[in-house]
Order: sequence, then C-alpha cells, then structure tokens
Amino acid sequence: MRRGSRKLTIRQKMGRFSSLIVLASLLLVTLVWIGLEYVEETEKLELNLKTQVIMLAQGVASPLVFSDQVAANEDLATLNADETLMGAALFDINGDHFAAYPQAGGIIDKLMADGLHHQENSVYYFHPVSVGDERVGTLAVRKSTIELRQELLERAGVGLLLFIIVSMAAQFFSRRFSTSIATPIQQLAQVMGEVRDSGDFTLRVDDFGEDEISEMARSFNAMLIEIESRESDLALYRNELEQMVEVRTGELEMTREKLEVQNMALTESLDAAKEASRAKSQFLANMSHEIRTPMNGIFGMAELLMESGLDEQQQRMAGTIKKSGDHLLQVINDILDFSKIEAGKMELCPEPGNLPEMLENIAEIYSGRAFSKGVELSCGLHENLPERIRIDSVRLTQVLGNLIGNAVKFTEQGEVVLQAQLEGSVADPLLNIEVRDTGVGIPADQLEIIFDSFSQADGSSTRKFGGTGLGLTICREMISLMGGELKVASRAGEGSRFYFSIPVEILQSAHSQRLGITPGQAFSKRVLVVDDRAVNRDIIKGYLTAWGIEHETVSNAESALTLLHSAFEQGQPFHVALLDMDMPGTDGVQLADRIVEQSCFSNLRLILLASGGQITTDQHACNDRIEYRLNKPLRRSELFNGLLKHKIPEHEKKIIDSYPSRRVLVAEDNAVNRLLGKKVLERFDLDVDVVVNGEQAIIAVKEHDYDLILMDCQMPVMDGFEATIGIREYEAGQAGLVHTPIIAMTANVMHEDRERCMTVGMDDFLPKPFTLQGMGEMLAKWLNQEAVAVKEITNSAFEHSEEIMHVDMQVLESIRDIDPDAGMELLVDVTDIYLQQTLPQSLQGIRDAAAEDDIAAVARSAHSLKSGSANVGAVEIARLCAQMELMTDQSQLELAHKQIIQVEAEAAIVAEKLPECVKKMERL
Amino acid sequence: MMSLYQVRKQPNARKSPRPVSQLSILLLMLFAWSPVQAADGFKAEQLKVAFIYHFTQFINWPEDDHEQAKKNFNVCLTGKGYEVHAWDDMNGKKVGGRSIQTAACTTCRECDLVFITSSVAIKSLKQRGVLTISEQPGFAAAGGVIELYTVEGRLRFRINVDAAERAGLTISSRLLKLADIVHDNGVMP
Repeated sequence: MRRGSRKLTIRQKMGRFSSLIVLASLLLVTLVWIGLEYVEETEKLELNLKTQVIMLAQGVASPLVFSDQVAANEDLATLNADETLMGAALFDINGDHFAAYPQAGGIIDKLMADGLHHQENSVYYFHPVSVGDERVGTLAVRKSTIELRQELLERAGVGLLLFIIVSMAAQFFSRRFSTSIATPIQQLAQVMGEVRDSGDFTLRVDDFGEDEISEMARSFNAMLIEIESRESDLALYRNELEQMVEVRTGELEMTREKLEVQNMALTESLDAAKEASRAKSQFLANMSHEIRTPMNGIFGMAELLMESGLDEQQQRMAGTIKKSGDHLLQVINDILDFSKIEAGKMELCPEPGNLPEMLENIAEIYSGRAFSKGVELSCGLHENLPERIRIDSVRLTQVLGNLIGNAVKFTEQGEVVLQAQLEGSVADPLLNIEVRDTGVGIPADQLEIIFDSFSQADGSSTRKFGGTGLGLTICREMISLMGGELKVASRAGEGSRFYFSIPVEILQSAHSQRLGITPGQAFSKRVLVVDDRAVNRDIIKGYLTAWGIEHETVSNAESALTLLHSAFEQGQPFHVALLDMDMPGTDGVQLADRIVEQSCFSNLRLILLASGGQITTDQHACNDRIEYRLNKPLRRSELFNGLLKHKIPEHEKKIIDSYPSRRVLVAEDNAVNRLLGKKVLERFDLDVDVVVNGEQAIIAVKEHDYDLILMDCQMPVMDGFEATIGIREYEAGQAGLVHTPIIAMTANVMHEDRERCMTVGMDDFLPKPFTLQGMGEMLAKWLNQEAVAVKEITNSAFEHSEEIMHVDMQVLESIRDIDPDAGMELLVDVTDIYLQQTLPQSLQGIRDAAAEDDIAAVARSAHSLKSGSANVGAVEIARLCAQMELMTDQSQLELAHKQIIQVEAEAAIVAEKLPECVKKMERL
Repeated sequence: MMSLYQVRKQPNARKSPRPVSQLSILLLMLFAWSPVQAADGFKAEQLKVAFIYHFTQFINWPEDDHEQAKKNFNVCLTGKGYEVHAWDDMNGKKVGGRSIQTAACTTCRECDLVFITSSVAIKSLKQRGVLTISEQPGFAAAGGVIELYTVEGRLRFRINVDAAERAGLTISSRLLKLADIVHDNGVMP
C-alpha cells in the first residue's frame, strides 16, 4: 500500500502541478482579458458620450443665444436615437435650465463642473456651449452604464465558461501525461524493490520508450545482469575457498596432533628433569645433613673429651682429633658448596644487615691468626659506606673470610688490609671491597687458573699452605651470584689484591650522612695519631676527617713527643693521643709512660690501640692514664665512642642469671615448646616441672609450691585461662598461700588477649616465640632477685623486613644459644620434631577438619601448628595459622579454605628452607 | 418664465427698493413706474444688442477689401431713440477678428452693420457688405436683411435671404433655422 500511495503521489504531484500551471495561466489570461475589456468599453462609452455632447453643444449654441427654447429642445431631442442616453440638459450662462431632454422635469437637474461625472448607473458629461470664443452655456448629457455593465458581465461569463472548459481539458490531458511518466517509474521502482527484498538478480524491467526513464530501465537491467554474473563468480570463488579451507584445516589438524604429541613428550621430559633436579637437591640436603651430624658428634665429643680432665698427652691427642675434625669440616663444606654450585642449586638469601659491623667482625676473626704471624690486619671503612644493606651476610662473610684467610695464610710479614667503600651512582650503588696483602703474590701466568677448581698457584703451595683449592672458585661463584666479578691484581713477590664490586640495596645510608652533623662539631678537640703503619694511619685519618676532628699523624714515638711539645707551646695542645702498641723502637706503652712523666700532658687523654691479648696484666704505671684499650683491627664505632668518652658496649655474649633452688611449672601441650621451655629454664638453673594441660597444672599446683608458673593459653582438656581461674580459686581457699605469679605464654599479642589474661588472674605476658633475653627479663622481674643487668646485645638486630620471611634466623639462633655446648643439637632436634611430626600432623589435622567443614577443628589445628612453627622461626606459616585461628565462625569457611591453600604452600617452602637455614647455622 | 441672462452686470443697476409703507409704496410705484419702465426698456435694448451681436457671430461678410481685416467692424445706428449705453456694450468685441465700433451714422457708407431705427430709405443705403437690421415691421419684406419683432414677449426675427444674398452675406444655417425666412417678394416660404 505504501508503494501504491507513493506512485499516486508522483502522478498526483505531476498532475496537480501541471493543472496548477494551466489553471493559473488561464485564470490570469481570463481576468486580464475581462479587465481590459471593461476598461476599453468604458473608455469607448465615454468617448462616445463626449463626442455626442460636443457635437450637440455646437448645435444648441444658437438656440441658446437666441433664446429659442423650442429649437433647443428639438436639438436635444435628437439624442433620442441613442437609447442609452438617458437625458440631456442645456444650461445658460447663469446655470439655469434652458432646455432639457427628456422634457418632463429633466433628469439632469443641476449644473456640475465640466467633464465626466460618474454615478451609480450612469455617467454625465458636462461640456461648455460657446459661440465663437465666448461661452454661453453648458450642455450636459447623461448616459446609462447599465447596458455596458451587462454586456461586460456577459462577456465575463463567457470568458469564465471558456476558462472552465479549457481547465477541464487541461486537467484531463495533464493527467494522461503524468500517468505516462509515472507508470514506468512505478514499474521500475517495483522491480527494484523486488530485487532488493528477494535478492533475485534475474528479474528485469520492461523496456519501452525512448525517454530518460526508459534509459534508466535499461541501465538498471544492465546492472542486474552485471550483478548476476558477479554473483555466480562469487559462488565459484566461495566453493574454491571452502575447498581450500577444508584442505588447510586438515593440514592444521595434523600439525596440531603432532604438536600435542610433542607437547606431551616435552612435559614428560620436563617432569623428568624436575624430578632429577629435585633428586639432586634432596641428595645435597641429605648429604649435608648426613655428613654434618656425625661431624657434630666427632666435634662435640672431642670438646667434651678435652674438658673431661685428660693428661697432657691425651689432651694433645684430643686436640688433634678436634683440629682434624675442623679441617675435615672445612673440606666437606667446600665440597658441598661446590656441588651445589655445579648443580646450580646455590641460592642467596639476602637479608638486612649492618655492613660496617659485618666487615669488622670478619676482620676480627682473623686478627688472632694475623697477630700470631706478626702480620698487621687492618679494616678500613670509607665514610660513605652505608650502615645497613640487604645482603646474604653468610655468603659475604664466607667470601671475605676466604679472601682474608688466604691473605693471612700467604703473607709472612707486612699487612693485610680489608677496605670497603661505596661506588656507583645514587640509582645504582655498588659496594666495592678489596683485600690486599704484602704476601708472596701470584705470577702472571697463574692469575687465571687460581680461580679454576682444584688448583692453586702451584702444587707446592698446596703442600705448604694447605687448603682444598676450591675456595677461590666458590668465592668467584658467590660474587657472580651477587652480581659482581671477583678480580685479582698481583705480581710474584709483590703481594696480591683481590677486589670486587657488587650492586647493593641500601637500607640505611652512611652514618654521618644520616646524622647530618659530624661528630667533630660535638668534639672540638685535637687528636694525635701515632702508628708506624701507613695503612693504619690512613684509615684513622679517614675516620677523623669524616668526623671533622682535627688531627695529626706521626709514625714513631719521637715525632709524637716533639709534636706534642710544640703544639702545647703554641697554645694548641692535643687533647687525645691514639697510640699504636706495636711499634718498632718505643712501643705504645713505653710512649705512654714517657707522656705521663710530663706534667704538661696531664690533661692529655690516652687511648691505646693494641692487638687482642697484647696487654693482659696491669704491668705499667700508666695503666690508669690509659682510658681505653681498643683492639685491632680497630673498630670504627669503638674509636668514635672512645673519642667521645662514650661507654663502649661489650661484645660479650649475654650474661644470664641463675636462680638456683627456685621451682617453676611449665604448662604446655606442644612437645617442641615443652622441650624448649624446659631447656631454657634449666639454663637459668631452675627446677622445672612440666604438664601438658590446665587440669594437670591445677593438680600440680595443689601438690607443690611453685615460685613461678608459665602457662600456655591454648591447651586441650583445659586451657590456660580456666586453669588460672582454678588456681586462683584454690589459692583463695588456702589461707596463707601466697599468690603465685602466672605468666601467660602465647603468640597472640592483641590488646584484647592481654586484657583477658589479666582478667582471669594472670600476672604477666611472655609472647612467643620468646628469646633468652626475654625469658631472662621475665624471670628477673618475677623472681625478685637483684640480677646483674643483662648486657645489651650488640649483635645486629634484624629489622622487620618487608618481604616474606619464611624462617627467622634469629629464632633459630636463640634456640641454639640456649645451650652453648649442644645448642646445634637441640636446634636440629627441635626442627626435626617440627618438620617430621608437628608440621605434617597439624597439616593433616587441618585438612581433615576442612574436609568435614568443621571450622572449629580447623582453628584448633591451626593454633597448634602456629605455636610450633613460631618456635622454630617459621614465622610466615605461624602468621598464616594465626589468621586461621581467628576464623571460628562457620561463615568464614571459604576464607579458611583459601587460607589452608596458602598454608600448604608455605609449609612446602618451610620444609625446604628450614633445613637449609639450620645448615647455614651449622657452618657458621 | 425663463429669466434672461445679462451680458454684464450693470454698475448702475438699481436694486429693488425696500417697502416702507403702503403709501410710500404707492407713491414709489407711481414714481418707480417710469424708472421701472425705463429699466425694462433698457433691458429690452440690451436684449436687442445681444441678439444683434450674436447675429454677427453666425454671418460671414464678403471680403471685398483686402485690408478689411485690419479695419474695425463698424456698427452704425441711424435715427434716434436708442439707448447709447446698451450699444456701448458691443464695443471691443470681435467679429471675425475685427473690433466692433458702434457709432451713429448718417450716410453710413463705412458701416458693416446698420441698425435702422427711423424710416430711412433702405435703398439709399449701400447694399454690398452691409447687414441691415431693423425693428420696423415689414423691414425684411422691404429688402432689409434682418427684421426683429416681438411675439408673446419673446424677441424673434425674420431674415430676408435674398437681401442677404445681394449683400453678399453668408448666413449660417444655425441662424437660419431659428429665423422666419422671407424672400424679396414678401412671400414667406
């Protein structure tokens, strides 16, 4: 229907348009014609009238002047001939009627101005009547216009009629015309529409006529033919393509199958390789453990034997066993390390550490050996050296120890210097360390092969100096792993210099940089440095300059005295003198004696730099003048403290108190914790009773008196809180029974938990895992004894690291430190129990509980795993378990499941890491 | 009764007197009768003059004299008893381009138009180119060209066409149709 209406519209449009044109034209013509007719006829009429009047006026002039009315009337009456003339009147010069036609009354009654006057149905013409030039009157004639009008109307009617007839004819013809145009268009559009809708390109338009529309039709047909042919072409191509695609698909299928097969093969080989690798690691781990355990036995036993009261010969023999064992351990460690490297299993564990301390500690280890050979060992730290860095301190220590050890070993006289400084840029800092000596040196042709496995510079040195020859190889590998390269510069007979630069992560930059102020500003004194060795003078000079302290250096006692005197006389005396003990000629003590003799130096502070063990007795008179004895190799921090008169903290081990004949109860369900707790307390010389749950604790309290109770909070049967309540009730019931301090042992450090402990009646709180120091302080607090203050531990304290710490070495160390003799044994036992019992059992418990969706059981298992893990320093797994412990609500089941996955993963890591770290400790 | 038209407003024209009393009216009427009569007479004279002037508008004089156009058109009056003032009105008006000059004449040889008031012998006058007009009855029959007479208070005129022909005067039909036509032998066709 829409199509139809559109066609009609076109035809209508055309028809209407042409009709409109024709009608408009005709109308215009007709109206114009009528108008013209009207105007013309009117003019004619008026002209006619005028003419008549003028002619008549001439005639009536004489009757007028001669007053012949009759004649005048007669003349006027001639107008009778024209029917349209309605009347006439002749006026005299005064405007009065003289004659009229028709005579009766006269239709023209008054004189008007000359000319035409139009009235409704008539027109007047007033014309002057003259005789010669003289006007004698006025003639007026009235003509009817009715007839004219009628005639004109008739004509108009005719015209309109004509117009209508012609219009109709025009309409008719225009319609025919528009149809003749519209029809072919309609047809064309129709076919186009059909083609569009059906997609059938075989349709064609009828071809008729020669006009543009037919042209369109033909073009359209041609297009359709073209499209048809293309369609068929396309169909052909499509078929071809489909065939090609099939073929290709088939090929791809084959390839895919091949790839799948390959993939499977690869996966298998990968699995095999992984398996092999794992087997290797396992082997190494096992070997390490298998070898070290009996080694510990040999070692330990040898030591015990040596302390068991032997005679001299036996002592020597036991000593030999120990030394051999030492040596053997060294060799074994080297081999194991080497194997690890070869297997690609060597891994670094970078952790935060205090760099200056690390370096100075390493130097100190070899100070004795160096001193006994008469070789000076110095440690020089550049002022830009960062305080704390992230480094695998164990490996670094191993490398430096090896290098320094070698240096000392291959040097008969002179010095060995360890120097360290920071290089590189702020974005890429490099730690540059070198160990140089004045030893035998290395010939040029040997410089390369010394790094090769199993070789030394020459076979003779092996025999002379000992060693496996693996050391440098391992060092090179370690340094490589750290991102640097171990290099050597040396000439035969001229000493050697081993050096490397490794990229390092700075956690705390150099001391002076951090402080912003230099000690010199706080210490405006002058210092004199007396040392025969240039390297020492340089090192100390470096420190003093960095601190902004005014100083002078001299190389012998004579120069020192001279300088001291001259400075004093110039009014710029020295305030502090650093005296090296070991100087040729006058040694440090002798110089000190001479200084003391002089009264002018009474305010001079004296600090002696001596190798360990040099001065053991108060032999010299100046002893009380010597403020400090600083051991060599000189520690920077000690020098600093000495100059500023700070107290130098001692590097001794913790002094632990002893509480003999005091009794302590330990309530702990976990086997490992129980063992540790007992051992720790026994270390303090306490009598220890152990129970496994709260119920037993109450029974024990009723049976014995205890000075202190250590109560684990989470225990089966009855937990710590209930037990505490029970104990307090019992105490209340017993008149005269003193309130026993109950200390809670728990890994939870939340405020609410502490409050809960307090509420039930506990007295204090010992967080797990506890340290020896912590325990010591707790005991001191509650056993009410005046105890020797626990010395500050100056071991580097590990800061909280941002990365996940799987195993906290500090915890392991503290376990080891419980027993100075069999600490490692204890550690191994504890970790074994954990790894073989606690961990797998707890994990299983968690898994079972999770399988049954028992969230409470999950929490309980998590708790026991948590405390066990914390005790062996598996802090990450402990943390995860602590989180799981809190999931006691059934709605948290899903969370718990996710947590379990994490715990399992962490357990796997711990299972590997813990033995490793324990191994690390075994070697140190 | 149609009122007559005036050629020109008379400056000396009297207005109708106001009535004071019946006696005075009577008296006035007695005394006014003559001026009225006189006024009536003046008017009649004026009418005659007007007629005569108009006659000249419808008549063509023969052109015997080449220099006639330059000369005045002489209107002569013979006899007595005529209002000079009325005849003065014609002075200055044109006849065929020639200015009218009215005067009295005796021999009347130079006149183009002669108005005869007394019984002057017609034959003694020049005939050629002279329009003779008179009020004397029988004037036209006697050979005069135009004769004026009054019928029922209306002024009429007779034209002797033969006399006019003899005088060489061409008279327009428009004038002729209004006149009584007279021939020499007194027969009225």
